[in-house]
Amino acid sequence: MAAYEDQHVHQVYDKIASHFSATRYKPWPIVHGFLSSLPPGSVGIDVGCGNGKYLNINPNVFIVGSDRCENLVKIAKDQAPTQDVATADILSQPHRPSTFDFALSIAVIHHLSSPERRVEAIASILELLKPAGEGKALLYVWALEQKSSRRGWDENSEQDVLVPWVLTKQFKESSKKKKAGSTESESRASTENTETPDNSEESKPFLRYYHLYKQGELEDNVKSAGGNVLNSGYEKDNWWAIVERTT
Amino acid sequence: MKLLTANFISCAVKACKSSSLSFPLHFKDVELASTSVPYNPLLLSNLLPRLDWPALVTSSKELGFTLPDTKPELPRLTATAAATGDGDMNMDNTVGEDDEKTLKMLHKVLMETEVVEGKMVCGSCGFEYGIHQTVGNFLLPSHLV
Repeated sequence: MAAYEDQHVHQVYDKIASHFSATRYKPWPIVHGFLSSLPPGSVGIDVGCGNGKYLNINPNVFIVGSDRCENLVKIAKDQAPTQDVATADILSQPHRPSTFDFALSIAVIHHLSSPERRVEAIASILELLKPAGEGKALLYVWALEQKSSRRGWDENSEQDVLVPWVLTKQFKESSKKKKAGSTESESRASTENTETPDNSEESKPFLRYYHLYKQGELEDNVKSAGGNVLNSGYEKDNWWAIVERTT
Repeated sequence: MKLLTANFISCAVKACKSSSLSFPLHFKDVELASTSVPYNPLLLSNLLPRLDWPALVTSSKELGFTLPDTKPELPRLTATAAATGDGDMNMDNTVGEDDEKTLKMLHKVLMETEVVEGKMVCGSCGFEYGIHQTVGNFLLPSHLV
């Protein structure tokens, strides 16, 4: 399982980091609202922070972002000088247990390749939170039900999928060197999973593993992980839940 | 890695989580830099109650700083009702000269001190985590997962 994720999640993000980062600049409204509601001095973690696009939403909280992909973590560090980052695995996090006022995990848990590992990932976030009533986490996963998206999946589609990512030309040669800031404007027009017709060897798509969540499945996973769902819903092709510990 | 961050990080090895020796991790062979970041007294004054002060004193010593033995006392600043969450907060309280000095000291130590290169060592299992170009790497070798 871990080896499969290494090939179909970790290695892919390492290769596509700058292109991926350049397509990730718009915060989702639910995430924005969650972060903005936190009182000054709150301390939190962003597990799977990617390029760090959520680290600067609320300047009056302190966030330690972490990601399995070192190239994305470096981009995040440059983008968020008032916050901090670390390279870490969601299943072996270096954070102090029972310590954090809040946690975010946006578009991360769907990359774990078995139900047991997804539940374990949620449990590993819950144990870092302060007890019930004091700490809360926002979880966000890709939905199976997205008939109106360009992928067109619906509730009868396969839940475990490999989704291609094709690097656009400007990111092929120096995909590891470029920083998000310098490429933002030129790649505004590019979107995730750009289907560039190109027959050369390098344009072979990178395949990322996803588990697409069905309605209610995220909440079930949270309960199996020993958590309590405070609120949940659907936003733009994703399921989200705000959760806390039960103890 | 900021000195502040060390106050929230412990060993990633599961067996170490219950050991008091796994926090704080101990800095070793560090190369420091001072980075300039915006001064935010609202954040700092509200962050202070969240800090484990003895651990911070330990980490500071390892980096060559001396902090007071006891946690300084500061009023918790609040954002005014007029602030609308666009990040441009006005403080409805003014701080005295001594408090201002404490806040500036905290800002320098917690926010602006970066460990650029070095190691963090667990006092329980002895594992050494590398810090490279200011980023700590907490990925474990497979035999420790």
